[in-house]
Amino acid sequence: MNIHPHLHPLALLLGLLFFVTPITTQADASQNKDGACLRCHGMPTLSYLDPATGGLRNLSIDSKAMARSDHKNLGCRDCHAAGFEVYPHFEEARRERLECLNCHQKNTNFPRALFESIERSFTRSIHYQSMQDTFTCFSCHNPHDFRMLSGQTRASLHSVVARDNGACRHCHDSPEGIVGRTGRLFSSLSQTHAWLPETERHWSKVRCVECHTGGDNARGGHFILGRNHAVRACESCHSQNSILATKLYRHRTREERRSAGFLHSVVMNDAYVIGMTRNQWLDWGGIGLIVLTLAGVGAHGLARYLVARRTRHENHH
Amino acid sequence: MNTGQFRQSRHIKRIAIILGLGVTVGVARWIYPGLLESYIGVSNAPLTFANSVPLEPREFETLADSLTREYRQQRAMAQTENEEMPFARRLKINMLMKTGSFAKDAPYPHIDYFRKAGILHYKGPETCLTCHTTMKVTDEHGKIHQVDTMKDVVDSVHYKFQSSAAGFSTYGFDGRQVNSAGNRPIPVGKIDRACGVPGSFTWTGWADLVKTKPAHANGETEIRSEGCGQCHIGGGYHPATEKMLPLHDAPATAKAGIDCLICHSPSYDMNERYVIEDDNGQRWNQDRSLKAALTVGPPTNKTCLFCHQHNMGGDLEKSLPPGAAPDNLGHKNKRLLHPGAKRGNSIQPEHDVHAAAGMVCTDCHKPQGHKIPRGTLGVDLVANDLPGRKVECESCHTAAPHVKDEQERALLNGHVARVSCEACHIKKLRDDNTVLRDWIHPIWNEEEGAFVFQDVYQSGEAGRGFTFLWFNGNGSFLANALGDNPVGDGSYNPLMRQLVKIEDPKAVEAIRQAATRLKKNYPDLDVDQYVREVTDPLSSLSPEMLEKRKKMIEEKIRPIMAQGQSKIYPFKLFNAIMYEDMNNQGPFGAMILPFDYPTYYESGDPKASVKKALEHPILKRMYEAPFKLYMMDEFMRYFGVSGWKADYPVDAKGKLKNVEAHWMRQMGSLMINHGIQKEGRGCKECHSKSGILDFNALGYPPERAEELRKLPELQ
Repeated sequence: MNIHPHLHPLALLLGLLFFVTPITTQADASQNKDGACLRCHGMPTLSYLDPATGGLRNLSIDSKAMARSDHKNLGCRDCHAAGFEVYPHFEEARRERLECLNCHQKNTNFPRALFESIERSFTRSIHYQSMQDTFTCFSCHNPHDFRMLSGQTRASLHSVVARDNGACRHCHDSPEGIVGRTGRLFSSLSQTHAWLPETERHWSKVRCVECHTGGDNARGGHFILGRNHAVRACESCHSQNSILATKLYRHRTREERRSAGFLHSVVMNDAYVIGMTRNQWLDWGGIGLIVLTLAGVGAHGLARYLVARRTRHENHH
Repeated sequence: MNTGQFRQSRHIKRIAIILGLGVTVGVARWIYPGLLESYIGVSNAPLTFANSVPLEPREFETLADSLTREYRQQRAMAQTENEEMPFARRLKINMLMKTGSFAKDAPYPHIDYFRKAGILHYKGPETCLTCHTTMKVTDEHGKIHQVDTMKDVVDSVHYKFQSSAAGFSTYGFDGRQVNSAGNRPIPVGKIDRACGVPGSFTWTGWADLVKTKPAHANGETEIRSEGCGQCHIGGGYHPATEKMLPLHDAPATAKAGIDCLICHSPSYDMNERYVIEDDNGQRWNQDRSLKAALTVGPPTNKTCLFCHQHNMGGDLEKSLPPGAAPDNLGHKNKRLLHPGAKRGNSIQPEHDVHAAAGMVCTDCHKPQGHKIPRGTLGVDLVANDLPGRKVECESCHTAAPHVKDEQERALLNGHVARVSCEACHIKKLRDDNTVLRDWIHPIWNEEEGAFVFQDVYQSGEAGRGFTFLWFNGNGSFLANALGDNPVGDGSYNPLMRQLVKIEDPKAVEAIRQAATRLKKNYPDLDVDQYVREVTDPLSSLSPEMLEKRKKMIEEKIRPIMAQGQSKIYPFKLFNAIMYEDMNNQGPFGAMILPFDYPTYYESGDPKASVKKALEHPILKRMYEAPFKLYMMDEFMRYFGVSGWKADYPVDAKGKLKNVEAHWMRQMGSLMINHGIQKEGRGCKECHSKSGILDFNALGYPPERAEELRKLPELQ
């Protein structure tokens, strides 16, 4: 990729400064503002074993992940309002119940329809259906490192899979966690997925929700299906019309459009087209083949012409 | 050539090949070991032990019966412990002894095995191997292997106490990991690591008899036993030297001398452990009685502590359980006790929460056959049989160990990323934890009737007997913990600060008083100079050497300090003054020279003692070309010196040459992991102006150090 050749380097630098400066100050400000909180909550192991669930309750904030998250411009106190001013925190802080929709539904900056559709599919999911009182957005989403899938690229695919599956496995891999939440013991994941070939490999390459939200994306990623309704057919993914194209691999269409242009991506549709796919080697190879074919046909024609002329010549004599 | 000639020449060729093969095998099998033995000056001979005697069947039954009764008696005693009235207790014990279900308990299965196999005589390993020729060993992947039991023992660190394999967490001062890939492996471990705690090498101090004249004997001589062999399972005239030589295994006679029972028999009598002398030299006696053999089982705390008491609570710890080593010094030639605890962390139930919970050593140090893991972290150059096997608190306590205190638990767990469990849960060591040992000014000890080295400073207190250092699991070649502050300003440098300076006023004063006491016996001693040298051991380095040291630390050691994730651990501090071969000196020290124990204890002349030790054949070989090339050059490069100068430090007139006494250039730092207390430290023990952690020395930026001392939450 080339930087615009006519742009003066100084202009570029000035432009960069203009954009970068305010952001850094803002980051510094939020750092200072949150410094007191992070003195404890910045400890990576600030956590305890929760007697209610038997699982680990992590109270630490990874400030680096937070700085990369969609919530990076928020300070601690923007969401956590009352009772956190001092340590030990006040009793009211303990009672704090935050909900995503506090901000995301009433705020005009966010597409209201999206959150309403999420809410609709979430309330139909197996988690909500079986644990209405205890299962919230935060059971899966950590607001401190949350990034929308739409912001992901091919390069970050692996970490997206690891993060999202980590959210599922955080409970589903811990018998105590499951018992604490549901009151009953589940079979281990490896047992329930024994039918799936290359289990671990699948788990490291695709997200649990690819199968556990079914083949129909219209239902949304939040309509989590239980074992009886999840996708089991291999060809749902392993086919030309893979359901992954509308899920984990959504970025592909986007990236393709970005790199090849809208028309190209529509015309090509995963096929090879000379001059469009922009693989010079293949292009030259293809052109070479055409030239060779034409040369062959030409040579053949010429030979036939020459032979015919000679025969004619001999017949004359 | 006619057919006859051809056939004849082929015949000759065949004979020549067979002869050649025969000679090679013969050389390898008989001549090479013999030559090697005579070269390094060790001798091997069939070993006999007076207490290994056959019993009559009737005697066997009587013994079996009394062992079982004794066991039941002990159980009944324990069960009735809370009965205050002695008579009632006696009656209860009698009742229990006659109770059917109680009596059914057969504590020693080997009584029955021996009875069925007709074994009435314990002859050492050969008796054990009758049934245990091979054993099943489960590896780290859960796979089961059938291994040769004797080979498993002989290849373990407990027998050979060195290793030429990779897996050391130790780094040379030249920046290379000891025996790591790409380097020529050399045998390294306790067998060839000079150390200021015992003051000798394993070869020169294996089994010695010392003539003492204690006050209580009214001028009579008492013979005492001393030497490294009291704690190592080989029963021969020397340590397992053969195992560290190329293409060589321990000879059969040495294998037959292995003491299986000291680890496997809880009724092993430590009074049988003393030095005996025969035509071939001196060696350690062992308990080979049938009584000890009948009670065998997996190692217990008691059996581990037969030897490891020495580096846990030490030889002077009181109220040890019956049978403990320091209370059973020998039926004759009693072993000399070692004052000054090596680590000073007692593992007795009243000092250690795990021992109090009834846990055994092998619960954490889970053996894999005869290989016992010591964990993945280590500073002390001790060979590790299972370098990848973790031994850590987290395996049981999880990453969030604090559970009960609802207010503080999360904050305490928050510390786990930076602070080791030991830093808070080992609050003090024993008072007799030795910090500074002077080997060159021995003083007559009336009670022992011998000249004894002097511990000029002992302390179990934080900041004095032990300090806190960043540690990532790596150690230097001279037992210095390596690590770095993950959020530091780059100023953390223990090899130029914590480990080379004693500044605590209380410690300095105690050292001054000790030096003043020494002066009574050594009038020439300059107290000021003595205190200066011991509290600032770098003062003995030349300016060039000091510069070289700083450069090596920055270039070679810093990258190793920066590896992995460091946490703050407590480290026991130790330094000693010994004679050194100044021909082989570098920025981190010189090769220390061993003492010959009898000369040292009897004459109180340390120099004469060094000279005597240097006469040992293997020390002479150390100063010759083959040993130089085989291992000493490489050893010295790890040591931070370019190579080994094989110049024997005794001149033609028998005088020591180029030998000087110095404190080692930095204190050693030994990990302390036992003696864990249930209650950890409170916040203010660290986070206050006079806290035990010196945040500045630990490399925090000044403003962060100040913040850590004055946390607003604690004001």
